[in-house]
Amino acid sequence: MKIGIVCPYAWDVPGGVSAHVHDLAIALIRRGHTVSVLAPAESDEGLPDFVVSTGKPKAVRYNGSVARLSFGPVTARKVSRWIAEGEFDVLHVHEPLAPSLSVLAIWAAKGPIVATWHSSMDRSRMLVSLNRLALTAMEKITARIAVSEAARTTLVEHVGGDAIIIPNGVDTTEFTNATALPGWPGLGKAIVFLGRVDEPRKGLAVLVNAAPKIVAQFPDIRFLIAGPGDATDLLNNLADSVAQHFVTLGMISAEDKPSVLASGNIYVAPNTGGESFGIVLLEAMATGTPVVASDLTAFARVLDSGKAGALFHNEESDDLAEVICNLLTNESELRRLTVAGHERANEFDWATVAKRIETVYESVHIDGVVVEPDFAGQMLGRIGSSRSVRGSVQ
Amino acid sequence: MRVVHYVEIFAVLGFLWHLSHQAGRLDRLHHRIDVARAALDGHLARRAAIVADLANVADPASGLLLREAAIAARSFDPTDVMARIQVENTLTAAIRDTLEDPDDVAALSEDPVTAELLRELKDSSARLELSRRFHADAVQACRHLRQQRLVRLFHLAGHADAPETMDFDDQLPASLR
Repeated sequence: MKIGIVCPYAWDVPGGVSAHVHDLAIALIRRGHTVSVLAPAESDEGLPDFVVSTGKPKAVRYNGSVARLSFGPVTARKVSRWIAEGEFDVLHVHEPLAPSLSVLAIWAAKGPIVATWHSSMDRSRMLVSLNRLALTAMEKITARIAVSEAARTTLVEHVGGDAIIIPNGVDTTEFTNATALPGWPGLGKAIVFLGRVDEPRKGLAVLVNAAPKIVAQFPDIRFLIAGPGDATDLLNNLADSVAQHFVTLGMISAEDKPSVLASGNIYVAPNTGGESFGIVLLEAMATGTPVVASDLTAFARVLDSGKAGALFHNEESDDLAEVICNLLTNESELRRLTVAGHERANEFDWATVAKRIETVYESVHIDGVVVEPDFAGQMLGRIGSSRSVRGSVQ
Repeated sequence: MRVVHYVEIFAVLGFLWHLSHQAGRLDRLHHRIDVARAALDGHLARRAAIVADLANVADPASGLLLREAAIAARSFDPTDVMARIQVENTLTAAIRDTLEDPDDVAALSEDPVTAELLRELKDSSARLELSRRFHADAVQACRHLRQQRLVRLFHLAGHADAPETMDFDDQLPASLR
């Protein structure tokens, strides 16, 4: 099948949705499909063959954080051209609610369209983004997928209709054989954090505030902080004697991610909200690093209610400190979590997930029908349609 | 005076755009239903074909049940949705009645050709269930829009028939899930 996939977030900035699209594209190509991914990118260098860039994204405040998205008239033209040239059997857009490439692609297309919802959002934010035009884009989607129950609920409550749930897949092969960075975790133990450091919802502040108590009990502990953004402000709040335990790596490459995750005795995910799945938790577990995560519904589900990793009360630094200290002193529990985490990670295999998504493609695909451009029809309505769309499928 | 004309002209143009926009939405929804229905029909035809093949390798009694149901499912009046749902329900029931017993399925699966047919039936039923749900979603969205006052007042739906869902039973027996 020829499949066109649209990723609304920058391809070369690590993130849950772009990672999902990357792995899905690879899994589909392995299964013998022709795949083209349309995505914004900070730079054209090093993009895989199957990615078509729409150029540098713009920073937009959205869903409580800063998203880097691509839209505007120039982008709209690129999207139309990509659809016209692609002749896709199925168009698969991701996170179609954002004012982004995904909505542009739906507007510009006509034919079998599949959409995947990734995040759960509360009502007020949804209403802002769900203007009339976005809703008309929703109407064109043939098949809807949600990656979690939370994402499905968001969709059902705010857009209507239904969605089938296909969870995220994780390609654990790169992670299962990961080796730690040289010198890590070290004899004094180490805690790893990975995520945008200047993004409040990723919860670095919760970990930073827990640090004094942890350092008091483990004087040689180190905190490995990896992810784009500037952590100086956060760390300035700490006494120098605590702050010196932090090692910041800045943005890391996808190749280094497994090693970073394997470099701690514990991986911490202190995210405070807005997460609907938690791929990075599974990746950490695949490297064999035990996970401590905030008790968000999505995280609790991935960690099998605490069986595959430890949970702490969301946004409570004291509780986080306690959970970490208890674990670090309990070698047998750490070993148990390594094994349980490994098994859990294996349950979310991309090969399985890609096959289920493929079934959705097959259920909407019709021989002889390809996705066609229809931007004028979207904008002007019936008078803008080049020809009557009715009767084109018989 | 002039200004007033501009305001009125813009209001009329705006209203016309709105009508055209609503009509465009309706066209797209009808198109989506056509696409979904074509996909659904394809999967139904595929399922009937697989069941007809299965009838040839099953025991004579099961074969008869399956064959009759499969033939009925392939010769239907395309305009009569209710009758169509009926034959599809009958086909699903025939599959359930004949393949309900896991031991029977295991025995049939010993033959590689039959095992392949059963696997195809499973896959095709999964696609069928999805396309039935996607079709129902499209129909619901379309009905919702057709009920709007302006859409009815200006006959934006034209002579297009009100869409109907294909609400049939496609649940496979546990032995095949």
